Amino acid sequence: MFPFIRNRKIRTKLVFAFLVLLLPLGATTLLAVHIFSAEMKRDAEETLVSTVNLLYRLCSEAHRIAEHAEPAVKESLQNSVADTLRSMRIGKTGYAYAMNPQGMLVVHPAQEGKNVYHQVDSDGVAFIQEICRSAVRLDEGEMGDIRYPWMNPELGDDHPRMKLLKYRYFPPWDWIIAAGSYESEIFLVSRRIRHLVILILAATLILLLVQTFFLGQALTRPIHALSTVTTRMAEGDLRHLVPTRRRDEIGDLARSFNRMAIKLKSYTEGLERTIQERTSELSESERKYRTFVESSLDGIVTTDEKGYVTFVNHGMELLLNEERQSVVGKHIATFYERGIEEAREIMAELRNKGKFYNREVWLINRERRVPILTSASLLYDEEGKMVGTLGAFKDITQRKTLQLKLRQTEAQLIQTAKMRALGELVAGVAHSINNPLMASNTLLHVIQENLKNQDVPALHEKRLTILMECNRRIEGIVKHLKDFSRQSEGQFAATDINKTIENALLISGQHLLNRNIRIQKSLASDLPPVWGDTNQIEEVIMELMANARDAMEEESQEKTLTVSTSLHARDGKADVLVEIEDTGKGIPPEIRSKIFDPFFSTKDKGKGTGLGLSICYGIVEEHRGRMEVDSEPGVRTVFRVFLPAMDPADSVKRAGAAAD
Amino acid sequence: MHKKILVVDDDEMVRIALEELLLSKGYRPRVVPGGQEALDELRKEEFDLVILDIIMPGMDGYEVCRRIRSEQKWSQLPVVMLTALSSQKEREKGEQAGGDMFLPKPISPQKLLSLIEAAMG
Repeated sequence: MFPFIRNRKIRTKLVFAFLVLLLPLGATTLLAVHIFSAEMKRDAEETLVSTVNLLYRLCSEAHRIAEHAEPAVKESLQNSVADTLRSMRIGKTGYAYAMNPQGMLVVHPAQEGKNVYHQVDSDGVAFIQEICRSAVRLDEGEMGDIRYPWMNPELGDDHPRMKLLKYRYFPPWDWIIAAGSYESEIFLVSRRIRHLVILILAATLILLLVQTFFLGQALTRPIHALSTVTTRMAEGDLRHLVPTRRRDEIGDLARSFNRMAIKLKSYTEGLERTIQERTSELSESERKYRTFVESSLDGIVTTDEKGYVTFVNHGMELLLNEERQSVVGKHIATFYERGIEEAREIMAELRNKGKFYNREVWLINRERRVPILTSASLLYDEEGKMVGTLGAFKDITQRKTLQLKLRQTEAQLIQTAKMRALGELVAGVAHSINNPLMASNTLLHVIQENLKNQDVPALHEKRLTILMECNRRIEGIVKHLKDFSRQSEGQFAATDINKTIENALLISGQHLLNRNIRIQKSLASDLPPVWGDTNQIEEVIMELMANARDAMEEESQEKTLTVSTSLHARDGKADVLVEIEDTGKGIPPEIRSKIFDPFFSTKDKGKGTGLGLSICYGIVEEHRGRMEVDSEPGVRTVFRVFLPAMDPADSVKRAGAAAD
Repeated sequence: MHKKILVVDDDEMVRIALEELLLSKGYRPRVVPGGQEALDELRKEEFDLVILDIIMPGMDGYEVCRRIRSEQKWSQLPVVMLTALSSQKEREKGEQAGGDMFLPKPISPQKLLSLIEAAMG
């Protein structure tokens, strides 16, 4: 029940409170009224009783006095008493009378002398009889009473009303002294009083209710006003204050609210200002970062946690050669050359370490592949949940190209260093062999000369010959080794190819003619010079000519060696082409690829070292040229040597360099 | 014939071989192992030709040649340089040092003989 009241409005509460107060009050009042009417009733009865007692005493007194008086006095006294009796009035309609036990009204204000013995009340009860009968049986001081319903049309009764009668019996005179009145009369007063009290109570109640209502209003109105204003405050409207001039608690509360509102307002304004400042700072910062991100040449990408691209900057657009729209939404693996494999590996590494730096990947740019250096990290939201990745991509094509060049250069340098070391080693070896070789040769010669003058069995001669042959072979190998070692020490200068060829022919021309080899020259005029080592180029030509000579050795038909030079164009660059052709036995296709291998020789063990062509090949490579062979077995073989021609500007530069 | 030839070479075998060769051809060879000994011999006797190895410990052939040429009395002395080095640079050095001929090692005995004969005029 209590929560029921607690949740009602103040007004209701007040009403309830007053009702609660009212209850005991009302109860008390009603009780009082009740007691009062009971008292009144008793009073009324008492009145009747005292009236009867009074009349009885009167009669008694009268009789006592009359006992010793003359009959005239006695009569007079009786009359006085009778008068008194007759004139007795109780209330409005109550009266007294005297009656003898036979029912004869001895004294009666209205119907004196009448016999009412057989009178019945409204219920038909012969009440007079009853009175008479019981009265004579009463004790000395005993009072009798009777209640009976009686209707008196004269008084305007339309229904029987209860009457109350009190009586005593006065035996000396044989009087039944009675006094009676309508009960309702008695009650009338108390009822009126009760009605009055109830009226007053009800009026009070109503008054109180009304008052309560207004009190409630009076209380709740300001509270309501307060509530309205504070609601508005809660919604952000801090301009309105609670209007109040009251000095009571509600007024205090209102003023407190107002103070609070003012404080809140200034607070909020301050806060709003701060927010504005921060927001503008933030948007400025954001603008800067956006500019930064967009203007970055590196690609910047964000993806969601599944790997779908959520953002790319301009740099990335360039890297992928795609527009933003056609990249966002696709999975990042689409752009890796290794596809989903790469994406998975990257994701695993991110999950493992949270971020990584400088991983090399290949991206697909339309049809091309681009080498990229990428760094990435994971992105988290405020709750620490992983929501995606952030990656930066840097094009390292240039770097890779440089790396490649570097590696090539490194390899070249290593090769060169190796060659140089080898060359030095070989030179050292060759050099060490030279002295004993020369000594051996010389002494053999001496021995041979000596033996010429003597008779020596052929066996000795043969042995000597073989020994000399051995020395020659050793010499040949040493020479080749020296040639091999000298490769790394080429002294480059502008070389006239034609002149070099002429030189070579000069040296070996006789040899060739001795073998019945016809020499045909076809040297182009106006050949540009070649940047190279004259000696080495000469060696190459000599070696090729020697090979040609050997190839034609078994030839019985015409042996022709053709040497020609020409200018050959290739990819916009010019080469000087030297062709040495023979009509010898040719090179079968299966060994053509091995021709330039070191220590590969088609000659018998005794002849040649197999180094010749490989040395030539090496020299030509050093000159940035290339060497080719073409052959028709049994018909002819042609060796082609391409050497890059110098362009005029080059020759000036290089001439200057050589002079330093 | 009977020409006196000084052979300067640090290698013993070479010295023996050349000595034998020259002897067998009727020359009068004297062999020495190094530059200092060569100069000493030259001061002691007169020679018709010097065969000079280049690569030697101590004084190299160029130095010896220069020293020889620095003496007035040896300015016309034919000097034949023998060496395994045969690059253009070495040849030039040899010429600058005053050498008359620059022969490679190894060289065939026949060639050597004909060339030294030519050098001695």
